[in-house]
Amino acid sequence: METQLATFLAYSPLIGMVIGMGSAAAFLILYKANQMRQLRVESESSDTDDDHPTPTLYAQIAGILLAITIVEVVVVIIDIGTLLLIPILLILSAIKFGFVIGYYMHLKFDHKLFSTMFLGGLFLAIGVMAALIGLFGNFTLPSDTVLAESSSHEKHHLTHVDSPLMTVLGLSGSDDGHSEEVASDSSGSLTITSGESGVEFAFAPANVEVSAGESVQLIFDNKGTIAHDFAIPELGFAIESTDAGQSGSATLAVPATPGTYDFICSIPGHKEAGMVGQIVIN
Amino acid sequence: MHDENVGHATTTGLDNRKMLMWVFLASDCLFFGSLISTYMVMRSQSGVGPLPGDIFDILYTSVSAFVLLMSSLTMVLSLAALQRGDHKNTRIWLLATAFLGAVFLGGQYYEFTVFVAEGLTLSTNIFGTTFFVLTGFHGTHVAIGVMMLLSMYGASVLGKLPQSSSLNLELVGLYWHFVDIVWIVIFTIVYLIPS
Repeated sequence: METQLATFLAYSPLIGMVIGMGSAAAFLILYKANQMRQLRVESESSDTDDDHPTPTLYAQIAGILLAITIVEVVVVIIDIGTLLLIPILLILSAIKFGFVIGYYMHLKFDHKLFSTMFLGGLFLAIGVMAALIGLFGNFTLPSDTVLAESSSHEKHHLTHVDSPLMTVLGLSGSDDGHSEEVASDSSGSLTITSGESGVEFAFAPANVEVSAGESVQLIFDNKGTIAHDFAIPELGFAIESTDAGQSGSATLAVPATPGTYDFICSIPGHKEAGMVGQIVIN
Repeated sequence: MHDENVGHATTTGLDNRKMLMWVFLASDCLFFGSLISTYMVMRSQSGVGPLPGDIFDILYTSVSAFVLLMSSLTMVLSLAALQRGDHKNTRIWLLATAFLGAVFLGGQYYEFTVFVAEGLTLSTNIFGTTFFVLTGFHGTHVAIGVMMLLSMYGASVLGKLPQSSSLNLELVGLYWHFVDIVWIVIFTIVYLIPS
């Protein structure tokens, strides 16, 4: 899975180029076809209904669209590998797109200005998409790669990451795969981070254990890009809102009775986005 | 330029309503483009499941993608019939298009129900949020399209859709095909690529 991700990363510029070139080609074809048609209209004067698509042609195109869809699904099911899969899928869907706008939406036979208007907006949209994805740099294939914990916090063992977190691209430095994480240690302090490896809305470790009755210094280290906080609502415990790159701490008096409690980021929406973990009292 | 549907003279010689529809569709590209890229950026940021690979059923979605593609065929056939002055077939194909659109919507409703049953809601994780917003927004487009198709059918039955105003049906057709091409993109990017 890690390798799949890496290949995808390596090929993402290529995919971008394929999309760009495909769109440019589609535009050229439409443009050219229009020019030719207009020339023909000028020379033939009136009778232009000749090159107008007939219902038979429409049905044939539907057949082609169906065939392409079947090929797409088959290609996905037989799993030819990410490297080929993505360019193939993008090209096939671009062809379908071209047939529908060219024939069904009549752009191929209509006035050039309509094509310019629509393709202008389409390219603008593709540009916006490229910019958004480039800015956030997170276009990745979902995989079951487990968040790799870089254990820079000396004293702590690593605990288990329970939820199937996914690695995000951009930060591919960690390649140690599945690592069991721990939480507590003898020194009585415990560090929980957020924003680890670029996953903004998750705690690492997401599962920690502490001993009943002891007092634990809880350190919340926010490695993300926005403010978060750390709270155990059922115990009335909280570390106040911590800005990106900052950390905060507070002492938790662990109850004497064993139990399991959720810890969350209490900023609205963050818990729902995945900032929830469990603290087990032994 | 001979045009059977000229409303009034324009500087471009093109009908303003048709130009408006194309500009609207171009702007809608930006709307969908933003939602699709948000989905692409965010879908792998979820700390909790379910995740795309857990719940997508490619074959099921392929069938609904196919239904929507075929509705584009019935749409052009309806328009071609009206342009020939064949009102009976115009209505038959219009109803077929609206029916296929409704089947697609029913399929989406069922899919959403299954996803919710498997624990994915708008607020489960950021994948759920971006997925439901994107596909729900598209579904809303389809629903509006079905209403437009049915009102065209009603107009035709009442004799208010003469051959001379086929442009009205053409505009509805443009909107309908656009909804179809958006699904072509969503189907590829959202459903096929993650698996």
